[in-house]
Amino acid sequence: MTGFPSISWNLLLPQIVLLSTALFLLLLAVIYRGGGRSRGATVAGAVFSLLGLGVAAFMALAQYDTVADTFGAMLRLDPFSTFFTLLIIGGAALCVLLSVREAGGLKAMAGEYYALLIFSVLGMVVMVTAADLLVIFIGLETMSLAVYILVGIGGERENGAEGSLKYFLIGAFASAFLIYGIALLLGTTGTTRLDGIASGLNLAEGGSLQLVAVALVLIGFLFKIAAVPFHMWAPDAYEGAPTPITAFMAVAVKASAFAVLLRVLNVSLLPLADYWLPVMWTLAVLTMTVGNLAAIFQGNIKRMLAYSSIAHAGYLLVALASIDPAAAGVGNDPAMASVLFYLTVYTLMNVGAFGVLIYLGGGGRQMETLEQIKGTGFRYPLLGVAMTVFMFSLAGIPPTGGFLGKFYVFSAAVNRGLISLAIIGVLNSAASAYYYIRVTVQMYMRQSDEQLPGLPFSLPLAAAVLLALYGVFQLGIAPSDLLTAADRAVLFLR
Amino acid sequence: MAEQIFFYFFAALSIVSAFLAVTRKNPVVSVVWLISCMFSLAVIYVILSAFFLAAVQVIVYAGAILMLFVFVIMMLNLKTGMVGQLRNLGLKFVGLIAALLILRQFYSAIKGAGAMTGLPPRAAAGFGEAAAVGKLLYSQYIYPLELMAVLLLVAIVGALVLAGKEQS
Repeated sequence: MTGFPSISWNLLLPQIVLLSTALFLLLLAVIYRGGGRSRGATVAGAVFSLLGLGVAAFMALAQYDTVADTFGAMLRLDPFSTFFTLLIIGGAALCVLLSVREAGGLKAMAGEYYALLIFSVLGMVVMVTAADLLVIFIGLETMSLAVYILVGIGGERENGAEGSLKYFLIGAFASAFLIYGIALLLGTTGTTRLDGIASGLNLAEGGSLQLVAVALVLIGFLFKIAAVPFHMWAPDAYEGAPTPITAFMAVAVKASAFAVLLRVLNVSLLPLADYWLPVMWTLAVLTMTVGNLAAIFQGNIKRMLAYSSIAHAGYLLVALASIDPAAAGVGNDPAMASVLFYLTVYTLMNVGAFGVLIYLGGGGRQMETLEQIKGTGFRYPLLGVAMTVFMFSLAGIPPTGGFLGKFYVFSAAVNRGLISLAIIGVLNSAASAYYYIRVTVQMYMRQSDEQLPGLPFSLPLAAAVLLALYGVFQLGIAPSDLLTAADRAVLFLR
Repeated sequence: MAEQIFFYFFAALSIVSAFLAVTRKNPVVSVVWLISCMFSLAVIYVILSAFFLAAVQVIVYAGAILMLFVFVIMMLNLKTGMVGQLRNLGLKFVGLIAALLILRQFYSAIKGAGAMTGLPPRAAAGFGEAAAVGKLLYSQYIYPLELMAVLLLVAIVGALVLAGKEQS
């Protein structure tokens, strides 16, 4: 029997701050419930969420170079986990900025809205800092439960409940796969620790069961990143959710799932690389192609962005298929670093695109379909320019960050000799330009059928869009700082 | 010997009831078979000297969760045959292939593990009792345990939010 594990509380500070923030927000929701002051609740909730996220980010930043285990090696802090902690917190903070107006419409539920958002961020941070499959699972469930609720929270949307229920049912199913896989791994390798699994894997002896276990675990994660064929839930959930939550799902949920996938593949499953590399190859091709083809036929922009996010998961899987198992412990692997870079750019351009969409909807007129945004480019010039930049970045056109992200991913594939995969990726990227640029065409080249109303100014929304705009250009023109950080972070993945 | 008979009887019972739970058309009958499956699993846990786990299995699964199932089914007033059938032939086909693949993989796994002779080795004294499980939970697994508390809190808040939405 092992004794009580030694605990370094300071390593846990970001999680503690996030938990306290979420609990405080719950209390705040109760306080504001009485007077019906929903506007106050919204603003206070947003302010305290941002404050909590800021303090947590500060705590994480202060320990950026720390490499340490605690809680009997259930939690691991290294530049890789801290990189993702910061990325998730940053993405969540932008989503809070996007939420201020939308959450106001939820009236009674505004307080709980922010609390659930922070709870889900806590689950993600737990996931990316975990060094044990058990902890990863609990973090994943905390994140998912909070997001299921947030998808269904949008009061008057009739398809919110449908999207939420679909997401929940299929998500619960995927969780069952994941926990079954973890149980089989525990049974065949004797541990749930990520590094212990690597040494416990032995294909010669009972390996067949281990392959089943690995497949089940990977299915659980692939569901969260909405890789084809586990993507069926994504369009409905994205469309039904309140738009800020759609952005949150597209960026933060995806980033944390990819972080865990990277860590599990590299720390635990490296001995099985010959098995999962071809799987990633196939899934990358499927995910890119299905996502892009389906996106072309969407009239609803949120739905289109949902399929586009599936396609982007496909580009990221290209990077996973290009991981070099021989580079383990020798030097950095450009394929893995490109995932970190891509996810950062992806977070910024997606938040930006959704931000513009929310801003456009502020005039009391719904702005969700290609029909509805006709002619908005000249009516709201700044928003038109911003949307154009985000669409160009998503399509991968220089000098935006989206171009460099794709460039690094595809060049990593070419480096590993996966020329055909890179070609399929570039072709997909070219096809995707069609539906991204169609948004710009609708905004500028078509006339609106009716008089477009003026839009009320919203400081938080404008701030989020401007920050995203700045980031997309910054990463497109001077990417070296982030690249260095990403290169350094993946060194600790072994 | 008696243990072996017990094991084979309840192992067979759990498989048969699981099969029946999936194939029955009437949801209430399905749930009853599921309860039988959970009980047989609990007996197998006892044979493996995991007494605490067996008790939890009965209380949580056979007791609480399946009670919930029955409640929901009765409240929805599902009639026989109302559980949706897979009409899509393509889906059926894919499902069949996936099931066969998994069966094949499990078969080779069991074959690869070699022949089992008799029962698994006896666990040490005190293994699987509430005290031992508790000590482990509150020492080595304290971090996941505390996280579970957060997870349950999120679930409660979520249920209240979704239920409260209807009223306001």
